[in-house]
Amino acid sequence: MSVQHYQASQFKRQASESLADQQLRQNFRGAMDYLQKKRKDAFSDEDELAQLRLHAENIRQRCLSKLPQLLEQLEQNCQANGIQVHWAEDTRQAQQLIADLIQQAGGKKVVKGKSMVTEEIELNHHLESLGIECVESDMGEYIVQLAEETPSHIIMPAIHKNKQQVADLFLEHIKDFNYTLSVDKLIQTGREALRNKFKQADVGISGVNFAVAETGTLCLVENEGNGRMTTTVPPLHIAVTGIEKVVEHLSDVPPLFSILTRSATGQHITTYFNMISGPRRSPERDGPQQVHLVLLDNGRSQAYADDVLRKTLQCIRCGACMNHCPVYTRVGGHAYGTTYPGPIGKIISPHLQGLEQTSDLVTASSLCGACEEVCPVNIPIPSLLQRLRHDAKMPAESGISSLKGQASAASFSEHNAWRFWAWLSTHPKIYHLATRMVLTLARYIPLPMGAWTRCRSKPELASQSFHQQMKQRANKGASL
Amino acid sequence: MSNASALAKANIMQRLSAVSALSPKPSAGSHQAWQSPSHEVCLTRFKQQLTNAHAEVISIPNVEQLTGSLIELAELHQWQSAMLGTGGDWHQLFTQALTSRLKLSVFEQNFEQYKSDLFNNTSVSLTGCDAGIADTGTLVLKPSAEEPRSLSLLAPCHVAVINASQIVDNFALLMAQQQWHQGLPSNVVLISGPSKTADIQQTLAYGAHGPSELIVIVIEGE
Ligand code: SF4
Repeated sequence: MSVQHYQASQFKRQASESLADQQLRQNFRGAMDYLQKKRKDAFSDEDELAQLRLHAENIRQRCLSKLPQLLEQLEQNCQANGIQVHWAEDTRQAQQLIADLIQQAGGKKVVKGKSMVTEEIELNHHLESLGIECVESDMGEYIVQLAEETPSHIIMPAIHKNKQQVADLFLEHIKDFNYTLSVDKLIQTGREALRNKFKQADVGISGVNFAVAETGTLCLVENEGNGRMTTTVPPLHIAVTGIEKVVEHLSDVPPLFSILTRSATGQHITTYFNMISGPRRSPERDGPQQVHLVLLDNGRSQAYADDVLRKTLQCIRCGACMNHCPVYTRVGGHAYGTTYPGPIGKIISPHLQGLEQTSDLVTASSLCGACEEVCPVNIPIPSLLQRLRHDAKMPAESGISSLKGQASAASFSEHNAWRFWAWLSTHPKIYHLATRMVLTLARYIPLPMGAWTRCRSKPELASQSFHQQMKQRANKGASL
Repeated sequence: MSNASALAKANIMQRLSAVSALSPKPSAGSHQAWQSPSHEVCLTRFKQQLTNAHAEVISIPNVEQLTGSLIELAELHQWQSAMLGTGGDWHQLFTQALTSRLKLSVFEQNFEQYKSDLFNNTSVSLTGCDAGIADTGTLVLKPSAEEPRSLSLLAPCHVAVINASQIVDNFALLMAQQQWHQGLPSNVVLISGPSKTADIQQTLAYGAHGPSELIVIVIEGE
């Protein structure tokens, strides 16, 4: 199955296409309004929210400050619990490692719970190329997979589709589907189709929301029950997660869990919170016989190395920043061309894919600050964006190591324009001459001025420069 | 661990350990989850939150009423078949109430034996609970050989029985009281309502993959 391909490097084109798609914009507007309201209602007490955010930020920073030790501890405790731990530096290693685990067990059919990390490593695609069937079991992911698309939101993958579009898709792909626009019936249709898949599956692959070092426990947050199915029914369970997801103590979990679900969907708790600390233990009668944990770096250690950019790794993937982003709301998730769209996508993707691919993304922000205002772990997204904009254009400052794709967006003409400007500003006589010239010639500046006037009117220049005005005032003052 | 994985670990660890990440100020922020002034308030909140989440909550004054209310439920819901564990606090009463009314199976072999039945031919499964959390209206299950994981997952209806005395104020308190950091069973699951999804046009639908009905019987007196 080939998935429709969007690319980060094509952001500008993809964004204009999305902006022209009225249906898409309507779907996103509706969804974002809904999610914003839900979040607001879940945090009725502002003081409580402020305290909880500080607390959550503090927990994440503490855990990151001990990351290497916590990863060692997690590995030890998981292994003591019977969970086998594996490491992968990049996409290719992770794909291969997971494929090997499946093939060693003779697996042919995989069901997946919702997991953004496996999207990041394009796992489905890889497994299919090896003849292994890989079915998404989260309702939204299932819909997106039928449509041969990728998720457009990290919490609600099919948020770009309305029910008609889903019904049309089911009609095309599901045998004996009685066309209906009833959401209940659509979900029941999906449930039945996927139950068969769960029954036949020999491998379940899931993500992880929190990996607890203290007890070697993997926590999964969900409403549907597909995550529990994935980690209960097939004999082999493989959990895949980024190295930053580890928390130190079990007691770190309740506050993070509470602020995660409230920020994401406005729920005080999700239907299921699934804590896995090992495979089936004798004499237990169910649960997978093997549990594996795959820890993936894929650029995260680059963010980790920098005192400022490290904050990116505090993220608990709630999606609130995208729900409140004026850019995301208008262009939707696909336009970004990255696994993680929206504000979090703009700050994490440069580490995953390099700045060369993603330099347009870091500029796609008005820096309005809505993302930072709602982020449950206080990630200063706008200032991280400014930093990444700088890194995309300029070489690293001394003492700071270069990012992947550092300065790849540097432009010779832009660089020279700034140098000229700097020179001009430090030579007052020439500067004044130049401004006078600009003012006289202003009326000859042609319309349209390219991209600037496409949606703005041409700026009107004052008839006199600021310096001229001040000079005149001073003269007047003197003559009085 | 394979060689490739060991090498990957060494490389990742080397990159991470080269960094001296400062730890944050120790005392920023706080989180006090909901606390109840009395057990009555706690119980009320527990039931209210579960009801809000679309679970059916039935309160009975004492354990003697349990079989009676199960019989009523069985008739009302027209259950054809039920699955039980081999033990747990209420096992005998479950059996007593249902045995002559419907096809009753007991989970006494490995999952593989019951897979097909659990997927297709079980109307209801019944379990006890390890604890309850009032703050969020949550059942805490610690599945075991006596009450396996799939009992709360595969049938379209899950009935869970809990003593009011098992209900605590919040999640953090429960973890602390039960010393979870000392070690956990292979699976602990928090359940706060029937399975649901809003993945199609933000419209809430129940019974996505897990049970579409969750019935909680609360035994209020001992
Ligand atoms: S950056 Fe903050 S708001 Fe965005 S997904 Fe991560 S935790 Fe949520």
